[in-house]
Amino acid sequence: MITFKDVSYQYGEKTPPVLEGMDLQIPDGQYVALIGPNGCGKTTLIKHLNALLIPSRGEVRINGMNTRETSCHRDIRCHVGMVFQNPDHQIVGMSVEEDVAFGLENLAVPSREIAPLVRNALSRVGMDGFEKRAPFSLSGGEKRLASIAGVLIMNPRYLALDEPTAYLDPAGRRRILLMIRQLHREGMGIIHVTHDIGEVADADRIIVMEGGGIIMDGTPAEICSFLMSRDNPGLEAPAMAALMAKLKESGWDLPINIISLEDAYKEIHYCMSQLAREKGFTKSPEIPSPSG
Amino acid sequence: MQPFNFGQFTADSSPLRHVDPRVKILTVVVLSILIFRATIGEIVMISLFVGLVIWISRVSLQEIWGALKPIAVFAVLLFLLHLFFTEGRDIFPIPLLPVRITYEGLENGFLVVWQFAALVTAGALLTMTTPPSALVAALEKLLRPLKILRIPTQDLAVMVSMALRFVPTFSEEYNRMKTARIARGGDLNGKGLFRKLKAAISIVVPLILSAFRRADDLAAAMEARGYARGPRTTLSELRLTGMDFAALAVMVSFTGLTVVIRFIDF
Repeated sequence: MITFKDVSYQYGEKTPPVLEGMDLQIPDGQYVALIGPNGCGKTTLIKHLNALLIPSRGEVRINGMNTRETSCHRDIRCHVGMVFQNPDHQIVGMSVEEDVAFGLENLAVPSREIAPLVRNALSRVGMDGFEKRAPFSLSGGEKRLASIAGVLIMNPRYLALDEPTAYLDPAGRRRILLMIRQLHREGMGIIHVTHDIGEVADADRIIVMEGGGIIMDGTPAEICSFLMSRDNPGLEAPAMAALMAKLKESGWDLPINIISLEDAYKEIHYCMSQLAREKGFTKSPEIPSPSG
Repeated sequence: MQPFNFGQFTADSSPLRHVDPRVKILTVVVLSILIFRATIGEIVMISLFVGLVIWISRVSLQEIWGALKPIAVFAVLLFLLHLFFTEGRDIFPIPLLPVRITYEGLENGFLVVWQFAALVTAGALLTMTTPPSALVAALEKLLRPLKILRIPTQDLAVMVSMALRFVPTFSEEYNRMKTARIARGGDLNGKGLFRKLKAAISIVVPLILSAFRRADDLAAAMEARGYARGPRTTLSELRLTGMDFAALAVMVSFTGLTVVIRFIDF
């Protein structure tokens, strides 16, 4: 369990707090998405999970360990793995295997045990055979997967990802999101920071942040309705929800709290089938599914 | 953008690639001492030895020349300094100028340039046939005895490794900044010293600032993955094999031979 109790944080004494009076609990194995406009404190919050930042006030506990106690930092960092926004900024090795091995080297794992664990971690993210490649020669998506492997090798219970799909093309983005879903299915807790609510439609819970605090915490459907109900500077309502709202305005009987393309497809398909039945058509209309 | 290889590690298929990096570093250190103390006769012998190593390593002469080219201007300057400012027997007098060209100056100039070239070649062979990570691992092992003096050798090795890791980052960043300048009409190849200097400063200052930011991010990433003072292990474990002992034996024999020849000379 991750617990934030009345956490405030400010980068300097004269600067305004970036986090203020934050209370939060994240149970083991939960997929939590953090969304909010730039500067709302998302990155600052997740840096607290890994004891990279210590609260100016209040306390953060990771599995009961207080992040203020420096003797716990190594355990905390094994417990919560952190993947930063820009993979180029976290590459420490001159080859992929050296980079992935870095965490285990720090834990003083015997040399002969490291190589098989590196291969296993790379295999988990679908990067078999990349061991000897130079990290700087990889594509954006591959670099991101390699940095996830570098964290997974430490066997964390939570994975905190700061905008993991930033700078990626659609294929790279899809690959990363599938990886995150897979890890969640395997029981890992995920804390996923993003601007795009559309990519966290599968999350168990979405937290909306604004001005250093939490303004809404709920299921994706609840958050979608919330975002559609107000003007959100710096945060867009999901495109699918906007589409559903437009269709609803035109007289279609559709829910607006829809985030994913798949759900939108199901709803529209159902609605059209109903319409076809009402008009006396014997056959339901054929609509190609989003997956083709 | 081209991937960047630090130290021009290019000879991945070279037989020297498989020699323990500690043996290679030690050989370069011993060769450096021999080179600096060498007479003309000895430098010929050392050059033949280095030539033999080049042949074994399968590094092309073109690559060796690539390593020597950047020091050519410096070598010429070194030669001229010795040529003009060494006391001895005049080859021919130069009227009105406070310099002399002597037989001893000519000999010294040749010797020093030859020594310099031999040293750079030996160093280039080391970096061309050894991946940077192996160099760092070897350095860590070789420095280990300094632990007795409470010198944090593991941290030193990590520092060297991070410095090497930053080379491609800098190279990439520099290229990015240069392209951005050119795209906005900046002239980086302008004529005149002042213009060149101005152009260089316009890139170097933001490059240094960006380096500090990157260093900050990297430090956070290292901490996040459990880096702290304390015992560490490394992925690659260095172990001396038969090939390494053979290389060591060759190095010791060659050193012995050079020393014996020097005594015979006396």
